[in-house]
Formats: sequence, C-alpha cells, structure tokens
Amino acid sequence: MITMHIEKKSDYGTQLFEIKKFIDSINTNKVVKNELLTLSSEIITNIQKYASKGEFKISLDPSGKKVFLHASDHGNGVSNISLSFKDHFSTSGSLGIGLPTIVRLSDDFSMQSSQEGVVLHCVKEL
Amino acid sequence: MIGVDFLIKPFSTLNECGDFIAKFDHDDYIFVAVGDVGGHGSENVGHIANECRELLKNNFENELESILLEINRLQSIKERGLTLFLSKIYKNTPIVEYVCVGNQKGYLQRFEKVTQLDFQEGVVGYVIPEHIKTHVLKLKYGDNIFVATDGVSDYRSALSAETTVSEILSQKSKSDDDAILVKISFNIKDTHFSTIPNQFSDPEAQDSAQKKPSEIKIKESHKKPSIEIQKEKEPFVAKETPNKHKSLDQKSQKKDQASKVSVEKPKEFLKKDLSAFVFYTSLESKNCKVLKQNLFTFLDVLGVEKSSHVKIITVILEIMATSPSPLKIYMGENSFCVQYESNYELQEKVNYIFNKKSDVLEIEHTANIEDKKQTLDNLKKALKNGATLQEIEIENLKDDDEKKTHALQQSNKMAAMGEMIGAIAHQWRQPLNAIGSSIQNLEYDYEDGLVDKEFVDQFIEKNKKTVQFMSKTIDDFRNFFRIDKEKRTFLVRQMIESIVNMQSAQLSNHSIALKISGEDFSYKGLESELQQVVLNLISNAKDAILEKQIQNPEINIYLQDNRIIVKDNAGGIPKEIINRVFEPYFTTKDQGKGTGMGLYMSKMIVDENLEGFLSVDNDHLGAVFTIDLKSRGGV
Repeated sequence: MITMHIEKKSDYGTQLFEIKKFIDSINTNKVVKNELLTLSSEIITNIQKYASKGEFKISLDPSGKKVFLHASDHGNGVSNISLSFKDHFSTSGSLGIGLPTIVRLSDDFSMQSSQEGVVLHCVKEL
Repeated sequence: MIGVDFLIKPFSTLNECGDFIAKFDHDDYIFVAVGDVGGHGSENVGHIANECRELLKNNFENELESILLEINRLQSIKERGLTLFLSKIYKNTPIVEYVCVGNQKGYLQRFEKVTQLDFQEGVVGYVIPEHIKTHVLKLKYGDNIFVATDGVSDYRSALSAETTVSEILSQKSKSDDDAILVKISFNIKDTHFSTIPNQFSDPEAQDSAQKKPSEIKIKESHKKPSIEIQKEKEPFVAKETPNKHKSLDQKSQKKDQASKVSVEKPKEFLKKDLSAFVFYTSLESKNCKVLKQNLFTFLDVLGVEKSSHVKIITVILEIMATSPSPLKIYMGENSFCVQYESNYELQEKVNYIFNKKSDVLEIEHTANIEDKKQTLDNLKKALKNGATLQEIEIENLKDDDEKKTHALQQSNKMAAMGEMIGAIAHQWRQPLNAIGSSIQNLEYDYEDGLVDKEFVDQFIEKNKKTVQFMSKTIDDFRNFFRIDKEKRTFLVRQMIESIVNMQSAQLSNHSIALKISGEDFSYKGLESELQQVVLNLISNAKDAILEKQIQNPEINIYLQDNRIIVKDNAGGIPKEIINRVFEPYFTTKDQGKGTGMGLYMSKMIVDENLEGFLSVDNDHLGAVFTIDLKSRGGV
C-alpha cells in the first residue's frame, strides 16, 4: 500500500514514479497497469488543481484480484456535479476528461462531496 | 434505457397523501425525487406535497444541495417536516448522483448484492445537517435502485432484479402510514459510454439512440394497486399525526440567509480613476497566441497564484470573444479588476468559474506595482498593439542603441520561429528519410542496371510527390497557426495517396504491403485533419502488425460510398477492449510508447470537426476502421 499526502506544491512527478513502481509490482496485464497509472494521475491532479491539500492511497486487495484507490481532500467539494461529470467540460481550460475518465476507468466508483471536501473510492478489478 | 417504476399507497386518498415522487427528464439525466411530508390523511399534507413537487419542477436543473436548501426554506415544510431523497441518473456517464436527508431507505441492488445508500440524519424544514453530502456512484447495466419512504417496513431481504414495486408494497407497507416505493432500473450498456463523443458503435445502442438517447419507461401503476390495498384497510379516520420534531433549528435559518445569491455591485473605486493602468483591448485582429502569452506574463509579473492563471486567462479570452464591448483591466494596489459588459451566458460562465455574479472580476495580486511600473507599462502597450512584450521592449530600446535593438529583434524572431520549425522538422523527418534512401539506392540501382527511362520517370515522380508533400507541410503549419481554418473541397483518394507516399519507405522497410482501392470522391472539409486521422490509422495498423510479427503483412484502404475503410491483417482487436479504443488514455502499448490519445483525437476530429463518424470492427483478418463521411459532410 502507498499513502501520499498531496499538496499544491508537492512533486507530482516523483509521486507518480512511486505509484508506478507499486503498479509495476502488481501481477496484471499492461492495459490495466496503464489504466491504474492514469487513474492515479487523474486523481492526484484533481486534488492539486481543485483542493490543493489531500491524501491519496493505493492498495492491493489481499486476494490479489482488486486494486483500491482512495482519495480525500479538504477542498470545498465539487462545485457543479452535472457539468463536472460531463465529457469535455473543464473549469481550467484543460481537455475536460478528468472526472468522466476516472468513472470510466474504474470498475466501481463512489464519491461523496460536501463543503468539507471530497472523498473518493475507486476499485479496479485485475 | 432508464426505467422509473413506482407505486404509491396512500393512507387515505392520493390528494391527502404526504408521500410524493417527482420525476423530470433532462437531456443529460433523469431527475427523481422521493419525499415524505410529516403527517398523513389530511388535505393540508397533500397540498404541501404538491407544493414541494411544484418547487422541484422549477428547480430540478440546479445542484441537488441547493434544491434541498430551497425546499428547506419553504414555510409550509417548517410546520411539518420532510424527509427527502433527490437524485439524478445520468444518460451519458454511468452514474447516479443523490442526496438524502432523513430515513428514506435506499438500496442499490446489483445481482445478488444489495448495498444501502448513504443518508444523513435530519428532517428538512427542522434540522438539516450542517454540510449536505452529495454522493456519486457508478452504475452498471442491470443495476436497480430502490427508494422507499418510512411507510414501507424493512424490505431489504425482498430485493432482487425481478422484484416489482407492487410485490414489495403489498408485503411490506404499513397499514397506518402513507407509503411509496420507487424502482429505478439502469439498463444502459457499458458500450454506450465507452466511446466519445456520444455516438455508439454498438448497433443495438445505436438503434435506440436514433429513437431517443434514453427513453423513460414509466409505468403509471399507482392507481390500480393502491385502490386494491385500500379496500383491505380499516375505514379512514382523519387524524393529524404530531410533527416529527418541534424545535426550530437556528442553523437552518442561518443557512437560508447564507445561500441567497448576492449580486455584487461594481467596486466604488473603479468609478474614480485611481487605477495606475488601464488596458483597453479587444480580441479582433489580435494574435490570440501572443495575447495569451502577454496575459500569462502579466499574471506572473503581478505574482498572481500560478494555479489560477489558466482559469483567469480562459475567462478573459471568453469575455473578449463574446462581450460586445472592449474589456478593461484596472490596477489597484492589492488587486486588479477586470471589468466587462456582461450578457447572461457570459455571466453564467464567470459565475460558475469564479462563483461571482458581477460585471467586475476582482483578482488579488501580491506585487508592488510601483516597482513593476516599467514592465506593466510595456505590457499595456503590448496588449494594446497585439505585440509581444519583447517587441515592445525592443521598441523602447530603439532610441538607446540601434544595434542592440536589431540583435534582440533577430533573436526574438528566431524564438518565435523556433517553435514552428521544431514542429515542421518533426513532420519532415519521414519524407527526408524517403528522399535520402531513394538517393542512396540510386547508385546500387544503376550498378544493377535497373536505371532506364521508366525508372527515371518513376524516380522523379515519387520524389516530386515527397517534395510537394514537404512543401505542403509548411503550408499546413502556416494554416495551423491561423485561427480560422477553411473548409475546402478535395479529392480523398489523392489525399490518401500522398500520405501513403510519405509512409511508403517505412512500410516497405517492414515489408508491409499497402493497397488502395475504390473510386475517388470529393469531400468538403478540413483536409489536414482528415490526413492526420488516416495517418494515425495507418500507423496504428503498422504498430499492430509489428507487435504481432505477422507474416505477409498488409494494410488495405478501400474507398466506397464516401467512406474510407482501413483494414489490416494483424488479427483484430480483442473483443473485450474493442469498445474502449476511442476512450482517452486507453492504450495497449507499453508505458511511455502510446499516449492513448491517438484514436481519441481521431474520433474527435472525425465526429466533431468533420461531422462524420469513426467506427471500429474486426473481420476475419484483423481490425477494420471506418471513417464515414457520408452522413453530413459529403458533397
């Protein structure tokens, strides 16, 4: 399991490298590995961009058949859910494929958003 | 398809029932609300339920949290209290979004597994949680969501995909309360969501999409069964149930006030001209790239937080593109203000991004503007003239030192060109290799006695095409830097042949045969974009062939009925991922080799820019990609 504290100025590259090492150690095919890395990167970027402070965890289920991704932040929550989960919508001028991509790549996805922040769980089956 | 099935079993009659459902269809989602007004068997209760429904009808497009707060403000609700479940089930992303305050029992049933939906303690109108939680949950094909009011006893064990609302209500409804049960069936296949944009490669999904993206199936089943159940009941005695909670919550009152949207008035100081600088500029005839660069420098000089740069610039450009009158930026000591003449649409966007309703956008900065006066002055000129900051600085230096100016100007020009040259160099590498190798081979061919008139003609023809392609690349890049791209009519086969010529050296290196067949046709659109797509499809086919080490590899391109079909013999795309290949970031290539953006961008270009349709399938030999230009763009 890897736990990371995300801050606005934390080094995204090094963190992703750590995660990549973890993902590479999992016994699965490269498509799933790519997707896990993309998921992690999307989640971390989202925290840095919108909440600036939070935590990210990635762990392997003891059965070895699932990977759990968990993230929480102390931002103000997702401001417009209908739009944020729509493809090609972005408040930051980017491609706008962040949240829909996270949903698409996860086998299970749940999110809880309030003014106290966002808690997000993803499950990826191997 | 999203099905909403529900059944109401009133304590007395429907118009005296406090349990209610509200369901509205939106392009992007279906809105479903289930509420339970405190008390039953009184017209007053039925009236309040109607009032809630009416409010939901007018507000269902808002955020769920704000809808809940809006209902919380209703005076009539404060008398009786309400438990409420609000949800949006999306049609284009497989998710449900919901908030739930009070003891509404909600479950997600997926195969054998039943999971309880989260809810927050409280009663709307009396005590609501300080922070309303909005939940988002991914749904899968065949999922069912059940929501019941407290007139239904614990029904969890009765749930399965086949369970109907009437079965549960007949077994589990209490005899002394109103009861309502809703079943939301989510029957949209994953394939619907896996390709972007919202076109479907799954024929079944495509059919239903043509009818309507997701039809709602409602069974108005509440009338008949409710009467049946009523017959079994004791004669009704009108009785007001006591209110669930008596105490009026202070917090909820505060919340009422806080959530009212205040419209900000322009800052007083803007009216006086204490601003140090006024930028007055409009987007027309200005080079957008230079403008962006200047704005980035501007924010940088002022020490505005880096993470908001893109956001601010996006809004400024948006304003400049849509606002009828020019935009003004006023400098203050600790902040600067962007003032613009807003229209409704613009204000909505700005409001959304900055959470402000105003014609003035105030942004804090940390710079001492006296110290930065010179740079800001230069920037002001740069913004006004659509020039780069360097150009302005050079202009300023002109009087001082002619020679120095000249040198700077040169280097500035070089820097601007560097970017373009880098891109051209990338595009030229292939054709240059092709020319290089054909020159190298010339000597051997001569020695082998292959050089005759026909050979020379072929040699000239082939290399001429490559050179023409290179020359066209420059034109393409020049066009690329132009904001407006012009659609023009071109011959598709000719365009493909030119790409194939460029790729021929690389393909023959790997002994890959490439054939083009079918009738040429003309098409009006953006030629360079279609080129990009075909190039990408050929290069993907090549990669697949090389990866699988196919014997006698070949790529076939067929033209028919305004379609371009690119086939390979690399064995096809595995069934389990074929519907996902157009997703962004999806790649089967090794980490670092594929970005997963190639096919996604191709799909975007064909479907959005060329108004066609890009689809994928397998035949007995390999993958088949079809660019269908027939539908809208053909001439």
